[in-house]
Amino acid sequence: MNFIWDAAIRAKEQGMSKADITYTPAKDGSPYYELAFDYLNRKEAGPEPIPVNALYRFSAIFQYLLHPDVRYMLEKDKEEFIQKAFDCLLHILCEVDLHHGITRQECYVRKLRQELLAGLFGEDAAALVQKLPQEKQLAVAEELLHTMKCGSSLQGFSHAFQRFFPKGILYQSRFSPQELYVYLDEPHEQDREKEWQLFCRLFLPLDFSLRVFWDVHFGILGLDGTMKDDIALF
Amino acid sequence: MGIFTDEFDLAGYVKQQAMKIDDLQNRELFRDIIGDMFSELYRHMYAEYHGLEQRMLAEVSRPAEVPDVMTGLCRREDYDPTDKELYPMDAADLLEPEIPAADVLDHLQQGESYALFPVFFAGETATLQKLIRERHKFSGIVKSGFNDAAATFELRPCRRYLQQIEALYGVTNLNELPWRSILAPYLYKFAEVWITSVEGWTGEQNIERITLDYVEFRDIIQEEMVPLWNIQPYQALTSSYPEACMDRIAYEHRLYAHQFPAGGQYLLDQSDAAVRSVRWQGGDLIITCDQRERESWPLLRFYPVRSEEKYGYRVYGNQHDQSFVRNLMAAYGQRVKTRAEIERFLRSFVCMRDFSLQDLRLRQAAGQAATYCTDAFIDYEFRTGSREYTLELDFQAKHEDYRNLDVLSFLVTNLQHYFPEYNCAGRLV
Repeated sequence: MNFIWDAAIRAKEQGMSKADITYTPAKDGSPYYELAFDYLNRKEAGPEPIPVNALYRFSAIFQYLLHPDVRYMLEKDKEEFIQKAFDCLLHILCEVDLHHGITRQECYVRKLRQELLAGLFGEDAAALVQKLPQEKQLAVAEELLHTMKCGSSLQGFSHAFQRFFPKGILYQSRFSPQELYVYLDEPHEQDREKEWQLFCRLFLPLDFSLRVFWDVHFGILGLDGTMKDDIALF
Repeated sequence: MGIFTDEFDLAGYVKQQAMKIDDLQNRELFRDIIGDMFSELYRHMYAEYHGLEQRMLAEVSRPAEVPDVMTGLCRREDYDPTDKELYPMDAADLLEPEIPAADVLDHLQQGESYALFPVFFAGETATLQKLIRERHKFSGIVKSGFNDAAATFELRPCRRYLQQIEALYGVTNLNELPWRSILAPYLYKFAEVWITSVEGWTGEQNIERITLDYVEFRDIIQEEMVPLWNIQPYQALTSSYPEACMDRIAYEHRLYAHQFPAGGQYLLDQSDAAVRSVRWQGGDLIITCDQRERESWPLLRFYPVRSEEKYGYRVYGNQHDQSFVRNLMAAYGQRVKTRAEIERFLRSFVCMRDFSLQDLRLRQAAGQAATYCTDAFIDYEFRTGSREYTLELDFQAKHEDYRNLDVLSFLVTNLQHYFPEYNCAGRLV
């Protein structure tokens, strides 16, 4: 963890909000790091104030406010104000940092997520997407955008499949290429089943037929690993 | 909800932090400088981000298209001539039709039948088609000044309104716009009443009234119904001298914006001149054609319709939503053959809100489709060859209505344009 945005992202991962963290000017900061924790490898944010060497990237902004003369002599009675003002300014700068990657792609993805949730792809699809965590919602929108750019294809489907079902294996029949078999390697639960249905609805091209196996793999002649223990037959 | 999520609430944060400052002077300073000045600065920063968002989304522009066509229906005596939304498709429909007695008798004596007037069939289109196909006979009375004569009648297809829809296809081509299917459920339910025989009538007296006994269809077959739409003919003149074009053959005719009252959209209806292009520039209409004389141009004015129901009948139109994803799909121009995309495509039409898509499947052997093609006049454009697969779509209607299948036919026809490789067939389940 090195930058102020690092701390904000980490805080979110720990279930805290941005308002739960405070930044404070570091007493003995290193010129090589923005965050001045006692331990370089520190991984968690808060609850105590995060010491920041604001001169690392923002010296032009803070060189007056943080100048020792200002802090300890001229404005000694304003110390509390300087502390809080510093914290607020860093929160603003952190927001700017977090918007660093605004691109067309990102903008489209977010707009698509918004329209997906608004029910443009069907009410039930919206309800299912709503249940997913935000990162997954964005991932769905991203794959959707990919499909819109390239058209629907088996390749696009398999790309999305690997993203949402990383443990799963997708097979294509040699005899009829439009038949697909999927082994998900997961217990068959109702919620996951619904997600799977949504996934197929969003990404599976109409021309393909698909058979899904949840926790038990099917046997394939010639592949010894698949012919052991519990196997599905069809 | 914009595209930016998890915005940091600086104003709220300042309020909360201010209370933690013990020194009152410091607290006040904090409120003034950070609370007022920086919160405003921060708000400004976000406003700029949102502006950027809007500009990025607006880059994917809406494709140019034919204005929405809205259709309705009313009883002849109900029509309000001051209506600014819907107009009769044929102005003559508002007048009492006169039936030339001698002419009718002439035809009947030669063993021919005679078309009298159109009727509206307030039932399933398929039932009407069956009546027409089976040449169902209705009996009735021709009433003249002296006597009543018994006569027989039958229903035959009424093509005249549908032909007006077809004529729009040419108009869209003239204006260089892609065709949009039109949702006009009422027009498929019109039939023409033909008189096939009459007994004991000399034809010397004027016909006062013709009364048909529609028997079991008494409540369903309605006379004196007028189909309406939101289109009116409109004349405009070339506003200035035509200007030469670089090819030295064509001329540009500029029609100033003041000729086109706001609140309507205009298309060039027809022209004797060879029209090269029709375009709008800052509210002016510029027509490039080979004619150099200043002239009057027949246009069609499309009125916006806000009413959902008029004269007791629902207004149907081919409007669709203005979503970003619709524009994006048009911009990328790829076909996405997934169930979600079909659902999105269908739902983008306003009329889909009465239905839900229950299921869909590809089948090799197709049954009889319940829906028909609403663009039958350009059938050859997309029904090329025999198709191997039928895309069957099951819809559920939210309310029972005799126009449901007609609306579905419109939706399925649109989908057929999108997926020309399948034979699209819809049905109600």
